[in-house]
Amino acid sequence: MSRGTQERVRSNASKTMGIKLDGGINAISLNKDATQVVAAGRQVFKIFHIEEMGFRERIDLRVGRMNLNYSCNDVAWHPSKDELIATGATNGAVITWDLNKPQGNKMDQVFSDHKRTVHKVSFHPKEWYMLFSGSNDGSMKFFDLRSNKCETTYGNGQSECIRDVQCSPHQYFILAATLDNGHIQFWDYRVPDKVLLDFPGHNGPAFNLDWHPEESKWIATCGRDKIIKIWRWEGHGNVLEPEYTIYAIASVNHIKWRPEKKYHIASCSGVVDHTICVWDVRRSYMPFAVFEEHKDIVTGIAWRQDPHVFLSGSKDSMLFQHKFKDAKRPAESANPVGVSMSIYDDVCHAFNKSSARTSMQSQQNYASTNFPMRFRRTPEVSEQYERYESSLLVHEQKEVKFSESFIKSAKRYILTGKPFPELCEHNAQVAMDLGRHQIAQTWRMLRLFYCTDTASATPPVYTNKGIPPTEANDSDKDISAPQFALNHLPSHHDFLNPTASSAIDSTGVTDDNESIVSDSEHDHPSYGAPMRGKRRHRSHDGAVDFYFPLGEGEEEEEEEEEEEGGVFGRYGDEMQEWNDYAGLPTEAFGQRHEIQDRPPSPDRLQDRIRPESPVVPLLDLEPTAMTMNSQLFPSARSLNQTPSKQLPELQLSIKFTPIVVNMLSDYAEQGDVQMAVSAFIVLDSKIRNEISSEIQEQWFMSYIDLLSRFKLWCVSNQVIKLSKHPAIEILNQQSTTIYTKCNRCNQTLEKLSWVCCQKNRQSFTNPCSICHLPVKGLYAWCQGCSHGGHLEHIREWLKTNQYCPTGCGHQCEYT
Amino acid sequence: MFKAKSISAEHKDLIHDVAFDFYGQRMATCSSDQSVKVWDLGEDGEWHCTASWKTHSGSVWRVTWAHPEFGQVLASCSFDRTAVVWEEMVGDSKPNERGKHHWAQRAMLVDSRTSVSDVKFAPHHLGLQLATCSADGIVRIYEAPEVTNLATMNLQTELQTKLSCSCLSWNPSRVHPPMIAIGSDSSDPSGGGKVQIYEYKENERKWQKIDTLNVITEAVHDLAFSPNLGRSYHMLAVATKDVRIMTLKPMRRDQFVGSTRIEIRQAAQLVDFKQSQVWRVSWNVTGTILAASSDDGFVRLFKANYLDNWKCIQELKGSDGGPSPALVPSMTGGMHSRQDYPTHRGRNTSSSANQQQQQNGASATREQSNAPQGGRSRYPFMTL
Repeated sequence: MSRGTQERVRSNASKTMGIKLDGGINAISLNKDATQVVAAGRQVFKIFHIEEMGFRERIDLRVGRMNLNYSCNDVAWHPSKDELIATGATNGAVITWDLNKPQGNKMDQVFSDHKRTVHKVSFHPKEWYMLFSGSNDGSMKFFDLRSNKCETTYGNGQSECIRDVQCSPHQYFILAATLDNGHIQFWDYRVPDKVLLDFPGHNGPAFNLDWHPEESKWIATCGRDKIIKIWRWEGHGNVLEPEYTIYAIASVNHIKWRPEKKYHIASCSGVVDHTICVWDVRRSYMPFAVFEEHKDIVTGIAWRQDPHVFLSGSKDSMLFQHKFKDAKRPAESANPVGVSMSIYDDVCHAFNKSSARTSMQSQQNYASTNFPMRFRRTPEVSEQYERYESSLLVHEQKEVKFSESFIKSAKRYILTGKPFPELCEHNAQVAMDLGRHQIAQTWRMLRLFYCTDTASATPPVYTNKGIPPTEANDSDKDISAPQFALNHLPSHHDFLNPTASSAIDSTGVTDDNESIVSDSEHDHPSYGAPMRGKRRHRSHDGAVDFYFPLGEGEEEEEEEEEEEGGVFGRYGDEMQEWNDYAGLPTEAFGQRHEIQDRPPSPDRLQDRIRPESPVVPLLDLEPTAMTMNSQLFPSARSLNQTPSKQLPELQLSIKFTPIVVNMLSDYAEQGDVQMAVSAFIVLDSKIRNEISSEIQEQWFMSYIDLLSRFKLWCVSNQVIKLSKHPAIEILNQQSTTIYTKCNRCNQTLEKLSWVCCQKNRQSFTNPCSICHLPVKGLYAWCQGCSHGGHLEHIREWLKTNQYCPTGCGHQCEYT
Repeated sequence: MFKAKSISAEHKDLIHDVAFDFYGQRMATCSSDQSVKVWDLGEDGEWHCTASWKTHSGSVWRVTWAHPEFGQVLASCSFDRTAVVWEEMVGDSKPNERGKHHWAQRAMLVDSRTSVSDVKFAPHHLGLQLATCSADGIVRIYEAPEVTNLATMNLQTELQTKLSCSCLSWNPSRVHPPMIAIGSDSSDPSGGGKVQIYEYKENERKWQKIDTLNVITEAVHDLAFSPNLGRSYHMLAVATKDVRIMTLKPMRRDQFVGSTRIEIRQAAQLVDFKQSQVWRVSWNVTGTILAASSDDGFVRLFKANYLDNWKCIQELKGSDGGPSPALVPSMTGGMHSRQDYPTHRGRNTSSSANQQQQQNGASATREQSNAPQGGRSRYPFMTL
């Protein structure tokens, strides 16, 4: 005990230090009181005094004529005799050295019994004359230093190379060995012809073993399988199960128990990893301390009879003494918690179970240490081991969900297809319903600024039942964007009289527009075309023809339309047109989709962004828009006829425009890009030129990204379409083609999806694989084997079967 | 109000990172037990572990999802000095293992000589790029030349930060040049600022350090750029002993003078953590709420009020079961949202009111719906 205290004092004075030797070190060993160290390698064999400030060379044992006997693979200092050292050489020689020899060569005995490299020499801990060795030739030998002869050979017949052999410090007759095939053997050294226990402990070579210095039953082994295993051997002959397992990051070459710390063991690796790790065996994955001084693989570890100081030798020729306080503690830099927020504002939280439990009562403890995670160094604490385990919690946001109001707003906002004041009013009401009062007010203010309709300038009286419930929204959402369905919502006039006139009104409007609709239908392809594309094949012989030819010559027309028609009119038409198609389509093939190849070419940009001041477009666009309005909505007609009435209103809106721009930017800055983009789309030409194209792009892209995170593809597509920004519009014109192939001849179908033109000229192909009839409506198509059929049939089939109904052997998956 | 739901993770050591995917319906966890688990939100609203596999031969520090346009792809990084890209394989699940998903190893990035402390995919508009940083201070940026071939990731750049790196974050903005922030957990305060900002210079085709945040000298454990969403500036949350929120405002081109191109300001320093360290920060989807978790087992949520004052709005206690106490009744902004209209104030200090309504105080919303509608007469606009 008193010696222990002295050791502590001495070690506290010592420090981390190193010395460079002439060559790579293969092994090190300490003398009995741990004041001297011998380092041995192929080119080096020296003894050093360990002093406070550094190593002092005591003797170089490489003297005289060099031969392979000096090329040491292992070295062992005798545990009680300070003058006796044994080495194992690469040529198979086991050599003893007598340091008391007066001059020159200290070599004492050379045993040449091994035929191959000797991996390990070790003394018996109690009997001074017993020296054991293990070699590549597959045998262990016992040398008696009294007679200087090899007395016994163990395991002579086996071919596997012996990596390590050590006597138990607690059981007098017991010897353990590890082999290249991963086996671990226990021997009684008196019985050379019978192994007590031989069992496979590792995958691949087992490199090293170490008996626990205090726990007599414990033995640790390590190997190339990157695992350190702690076994408890009771002396029986049954195969063992490891008590503890440690997973290192690389193959483990050496292990050494830490003195006085029951659960600690040091390890070093044979490849890649140049660090020395000290593990707590109860924590399998995280080293307790890491020493990073070496630049090459570490080959030897020796504790200085003190848990805080040890020496190590490495292939980088360095001999180091390590102080425990200079170690890195990976557990401290490893974070004990994880947190992530989902788009639905749910918070996932992982945290250390024990820290959460103790956090409250040990608050004051934390005040004194920066790192509550760390092991305390006092042995009392390290004995009380806490399991390192995390709890995982998902905190679900239950009340105020951003996502909810975002999704509802996105679905219910109407961005186009109605006169401006109605859009504003509707959107305001949507915001109101969702409890977003500020947004609602913003919408109403926008209407006030820009609306020339004096009737609507006076705020209508709102009732809470202003908006009818939107069942249409829900039932329709899988086939169409809900905005379309919401066209049936009452216009702002109806808010005064919410129950009566909505249906009549909206149908009336449709009728009014009939002529315009049919005109415009030819001029520019319809908004609802993609939807009709889907409907079309439902009605027509299972055709799945998604090939949209590019529109030619339509661009000019569209330009013209924009100039003269204004924006409301145009999209208004299209909306109405869509309404017409909401029932059964009247023709099998609809208009071609408005697809233009829109490269963001500079000339097109110039078309859009006018060089003049923003006032001009407002002045020349507004009247046409108003005329359009007045045609569409007779109620507004009388109010907007004369320019004299418009002028002050226009000036008002011009005056407000910078403020509105500011306000939209502000919404964007605050993270509400939805408001910014929605208002921008609704305001459209009133404000388009006031906001730089880059900012528009940024807003649109952000909003589209956000929509796609919530899987609001229809809304997203509508926004893309309404963006009128060349960089955004190209988004929905990428990869719009679906290629199909004949499921009989594997040829691609070029013109029509149900007729194979290749081999069997014009033959019908791709019927339903189950009922063999042509498919009208949705066709479920396996992308792997190109078989398929009626959605329902395929769904039914794959509920109970894994393989394709045609028997082609493909394992189809219905998702 | 949050409802806590405990999941039995069954990791054998500490969980170091959790990550939701793009759609918020999958979750990945990684742990020191060398494994990664993937959790899917089932129809029943519960999280089910659909995959669990050994990823590394060391502690797995981080796990991160790629944008779904590249497929179901994860990357993990580890103490064993590697980072690995994983891809979920569909279709070849064995019949008896239906519901268990197979994740196949794709690229293995073995350039680091020390523990890889963080791995992050670039924002998807930059293609399939991946940045890693390691304890020896090297940041590596990899790129897949073909997005369909995840097995090949070419090392594009190596940046020497000269400080042991612990975390990195990509700036998600698509209109600004690519930018990365790198944090160091070196605890030596003399080493200067612990957060470095790198930007990709298009004309020189290389990454350049453009700034070091000298105000932060403590060890940095995590940092995160907020989602951009059309803001003209970037927000960066930095987790140290406390949490700092930095704003990075890119200067307009015409104001470009010398080498400083971004104006960096500390918007907030959040110090509600008592004596514990903050280890992870995470933004919500709009970048308006910040979650910070510290080693006392709490998650604290922060939000800015209309004056841009960041306040703790909720503390979530990480205990198994038991309700989470709503610490601060989150009313700081609620009162003002009724009184002040945004544009009346300066650009940065205005109009968080709508968001207060959207996301935050349920009580705020309730209170406002009781407010008289006549409030509209107080529009500041009318006075113009």
